[in-house]
Amino acid sequence: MSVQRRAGSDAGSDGSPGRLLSGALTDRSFDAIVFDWDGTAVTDRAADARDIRRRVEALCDAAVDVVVVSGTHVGNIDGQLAARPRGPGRLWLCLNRGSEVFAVDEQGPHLLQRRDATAAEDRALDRAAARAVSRLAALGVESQLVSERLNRRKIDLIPLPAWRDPPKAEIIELVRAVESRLRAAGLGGLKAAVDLAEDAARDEGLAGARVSSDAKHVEIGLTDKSDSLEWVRDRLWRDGVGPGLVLIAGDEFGPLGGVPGSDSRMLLASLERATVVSVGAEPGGVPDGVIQLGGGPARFLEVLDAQLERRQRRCPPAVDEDPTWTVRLSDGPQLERVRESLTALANGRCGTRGAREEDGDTSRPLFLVGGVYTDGSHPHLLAGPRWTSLPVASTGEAGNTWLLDLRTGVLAREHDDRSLRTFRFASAATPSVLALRAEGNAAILGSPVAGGSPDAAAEDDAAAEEQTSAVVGSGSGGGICMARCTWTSRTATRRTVERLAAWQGDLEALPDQAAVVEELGRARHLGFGRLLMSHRREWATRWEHTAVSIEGDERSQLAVRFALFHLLSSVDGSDEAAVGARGLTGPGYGGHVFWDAEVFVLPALACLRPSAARAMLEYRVRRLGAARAAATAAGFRGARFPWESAGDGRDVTPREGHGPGGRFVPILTGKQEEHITADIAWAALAYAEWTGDAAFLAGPGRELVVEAARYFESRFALDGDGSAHLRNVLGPDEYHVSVDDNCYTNVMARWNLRRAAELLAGEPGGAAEAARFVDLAARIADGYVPATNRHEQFRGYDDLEPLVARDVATPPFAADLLLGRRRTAGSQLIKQADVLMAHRLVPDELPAGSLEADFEFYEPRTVHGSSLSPAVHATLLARLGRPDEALELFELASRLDFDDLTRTTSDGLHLASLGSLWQALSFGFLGMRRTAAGLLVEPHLPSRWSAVEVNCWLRGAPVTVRADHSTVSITCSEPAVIVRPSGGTITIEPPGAELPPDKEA
Amino acid sequence: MQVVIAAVTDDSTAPSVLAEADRMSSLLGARTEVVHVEEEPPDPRAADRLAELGADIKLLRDPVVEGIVDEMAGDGVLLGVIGCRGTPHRYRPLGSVALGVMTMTAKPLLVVPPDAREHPGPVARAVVPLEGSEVASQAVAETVRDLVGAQAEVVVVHVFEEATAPRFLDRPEHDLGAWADEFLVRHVGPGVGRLTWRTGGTARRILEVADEEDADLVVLSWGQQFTGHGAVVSAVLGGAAMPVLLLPADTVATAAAATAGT
Repeated sequence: MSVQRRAGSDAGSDGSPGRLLSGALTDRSFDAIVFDWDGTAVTDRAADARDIRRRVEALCDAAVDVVVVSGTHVGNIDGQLAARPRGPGRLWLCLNRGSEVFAVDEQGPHLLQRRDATAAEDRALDRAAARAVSRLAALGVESQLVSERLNRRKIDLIPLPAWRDPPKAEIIELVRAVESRLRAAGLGGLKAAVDLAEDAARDEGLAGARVSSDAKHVEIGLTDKSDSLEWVRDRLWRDGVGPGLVLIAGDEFGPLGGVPGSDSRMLLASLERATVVSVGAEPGGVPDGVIQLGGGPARFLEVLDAQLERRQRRCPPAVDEDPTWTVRLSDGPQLERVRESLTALANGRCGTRGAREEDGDTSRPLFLVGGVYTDGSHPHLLAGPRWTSLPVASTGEAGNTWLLDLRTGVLAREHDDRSLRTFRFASAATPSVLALRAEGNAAILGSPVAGGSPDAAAEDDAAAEEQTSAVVGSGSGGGICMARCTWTSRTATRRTVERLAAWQGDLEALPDQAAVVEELGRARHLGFGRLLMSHRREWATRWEHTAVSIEGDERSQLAVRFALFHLLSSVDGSDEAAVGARGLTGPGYGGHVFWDAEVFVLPALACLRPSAARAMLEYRVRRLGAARAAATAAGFRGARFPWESAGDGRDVTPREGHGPGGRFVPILTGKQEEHITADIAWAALAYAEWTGDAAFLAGPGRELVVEAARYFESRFALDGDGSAHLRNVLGPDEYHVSVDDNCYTNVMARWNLRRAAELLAGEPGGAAEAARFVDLAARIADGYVPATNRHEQFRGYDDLEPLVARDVATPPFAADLLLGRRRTAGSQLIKQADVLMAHRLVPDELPAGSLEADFEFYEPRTVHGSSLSPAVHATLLARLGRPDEALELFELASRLDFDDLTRTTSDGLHLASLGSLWQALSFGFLGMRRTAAGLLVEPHLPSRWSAVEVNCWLRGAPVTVRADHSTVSITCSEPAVIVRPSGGTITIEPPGAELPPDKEA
Repeated sequence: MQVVIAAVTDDSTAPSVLAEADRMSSLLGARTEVVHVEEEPPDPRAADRLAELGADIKLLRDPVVEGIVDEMAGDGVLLGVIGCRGTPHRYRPLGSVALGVMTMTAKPLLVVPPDAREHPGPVARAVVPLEGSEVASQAVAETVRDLVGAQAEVVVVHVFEEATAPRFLDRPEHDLGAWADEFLVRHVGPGVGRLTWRTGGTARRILEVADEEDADLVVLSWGQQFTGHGAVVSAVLGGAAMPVLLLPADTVATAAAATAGT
């Protein structure tokens, strides 16, 4: 398949060796180089290939993947190339015109893949070739079946001694001779010969035959170079190398005698972002977007040399600018710190904000380590040593572009005039390692190496290196230690910098500096290229089972991918994870852990990266002791989890702070938001349901749920009529403090008691306690009014001033900022889903049909003054079968940080909002819900979307759920039980199937 | 040398207008020029009263407003200082001269109330109300820099309104501090001043903060229209117990920004 490509460069079509290559080739690093062999890499099959061999091995050494694409067999190519690369870059030989793939290492080539024709296909190929020869003969053209290659047949159109083995340099003469010969027989030319062969193949039942011509021959085959490129594309994609990082070189892209050149088969539409060059004569010109260099193999060696030089100078790599995977942001001093949050890079263990390398007074550069807090009564995440700072002269307030590549977790910066480029990543494969490269005009990018720095007076290519280390203490014995090595070189006008850093952080003990230096040594030994390869591969692997697609809405798709990127960046799935409300993207909330973690982030990670969700729960498990102590101190039993916590599990909620009116006001969340204890129990069971982690459920998960239930058992008070009440609490709607019987809190507590009873019931000695829990649960007042089939949010709520949101302003708005706290508290305006949050989390705890009534009542009263709110309502609206209305709130949630709607994104991203965005997509629009019977899927797609696909993990196995407006498809590697909306179940066997219509629905 | 014009009248406000003009001159490194618009026919007693100021006074001719505006338009004139004659009550409707000058001049104008609190010495604390629009912030930026350079404390005050308030406020105890930091960085520059905020009627809250902070100056951007933000300016001028510095903003841009809710 050929494709119209982007406009190309006219760099050097004169074929003169030594002509300067265009900027597209010298200013950009490619991570994979794919090239045709004969005519591109060598002049002919007998040529001395030592020059290309040396370069191929050097490129592999420099972490570049090299792919040879040829029609011939491995004996020919390996015999001539004879490269034995040591890696880390791989050498692949895609041979036999798309039918074979070999990997080459120090031991030689190894077959990876072969397309084996069936006997029937082989017979059909024979017949087709014979038919073509016969038809040519009938027209008076003598041709000859010259070989029976793997999966193809080759017909010589000019079997004359003078043209036995024409060199590539004589291609124009060859074409002329063949065309002349064909036309003399009344055939229209080479194109007509190809058409004739295609007809012959079709007549023999080979409808999909690949017919090509190099002028001398016409070939009928089952595969061609497009198959090779498809293999290369897919293989590289799995390693995080997208098409934009690929260089494709050939010598026959343009037409020969009206027939597309054989290398044009390498121009796949899906590789449109690749850079393509031709070093051939190309008498018929080249397709759009192919850069015609000319110059043959000698010019190709120059291309490889330019790439090797970039690696020797340690120039920044490129980013594959795939608009569906990259976020592009520009300068803007007003939004400097917002951009830094949006482009923060984290690997689950540490995070670095996307601050410009020169820092600056509007910048907030910050390096954080998850779980490492300062000491004292107001702990916050410790600011670690900075590692991205470089001596960059001002590039002005405009002209910089930042590209965040979500697919590979790298951040690149480039100034419009190319005076500065930088590239950085926080290794996902080796979380203790960070890496940065920069390249710029020597007048802009100064030397970051003190002393011995190469300067203008030094010779070209002078280089210098410096290693430093720094420790930041937390005040409680812990801290963050970092060692970094900076290498710099310069020519007369350009400077490049490479920095590798290693770090360790610990809450309780200062890391061993020597160990960090050793870690840095290991990173240096691996080198930037190998580190980047493993980092990209790790991200590609993460996305393989977590990616989402929204067909018909690229903007929303990118927003969800952005959300997933930061969610997956926040937790690495080992040990424990304290996931603060802003993750590792900024200093907001001091890194404190709220219910945001369990209710908004964890459900997404339980489906996307179960180990990460488990690490989040481990954070709570290890602080059960502190939670028990808090309950005891308050005069209760069980465990009471803190509203805000940091390192040690104590409640670190501030007791007072500035309110909307600018005055100091008491902060009651820490004392009154009791629901967090049930939220954590809910998260533990949600995790267990999605993952099937029985060991967790039987052990620490059980402890979380039962201890939470014990707290609630002691916290509820019984009235004279036997009803149970929770007084003086604060629900998710924080506009109304010190209320009694908040519906959400009571329903969650009731759910908690019932689930704990289920866990205890089967245990020796557990029956009595279980019975008490069940009894208490039945007594809990939840505000339900049967007459209206809805819930009163708390006792007395219905008597408040009956304001609805639109009486005040157009939602979303922060009512407490516009009306003041007192007026807001006296009204029915609510900040975010409260009763509706109970419907969202524990729908089975509430009477059937009450969701509709509650939604109709509370939605107009909800001002969405919390960033947590819009996506929750979107989820419920989708479930209610109102997806187009849901989409409006979904889009609002998706723009929350991009558009800085809170005006606090500068302090870090709103991780809970990002988590709930994924939940709205999966649990709302796709209607996914884990039930006891299996996975319920009940989609309600907005009319603007044509299809949605979500990849996730279900009980240890990857599952893909795809829905359009009429069908649902499941792809799975293990049998998956799917619950139909009507209540029935169906088991889908691997690899999956489209669900039949749910006739009972 | 650059000039601050003190437009005095022959009444009791003249000393405070002159004193405030001298303070601004000191702040800006300028000298004070005193002008007075003679009435027709001239009042002989006025000359005596003005002589008590001990300053060289340039006499201008009627019409008063145009005379002062023309004088302020001169090269090197940084701002004008004018008394705000009115009733000596808590709320003082502006006099016609002040109203005329403030709507006509393209230069900054310091309006001094008749009963302004005495704050001897340089400006110690200035309250700078900002709505959060780029235009308003740009209008006050240079003055804020001058104040900071002169060691004055700058207290930025923001009163939440529908058009400018953050649309979400998750946790006020955390978020408002972060919002305030960001507001200052965006609107007055990093490390400059401190921010206090209020909910409720804008002008009332600005005056409240100015009183609580014992400010000796209020700095306001001013689109030279009495609608929208201009109504706030008018109310602040009417109620302020301290001089109010009006900094003309680009009216077209201001209107556009207000429409956009920035």
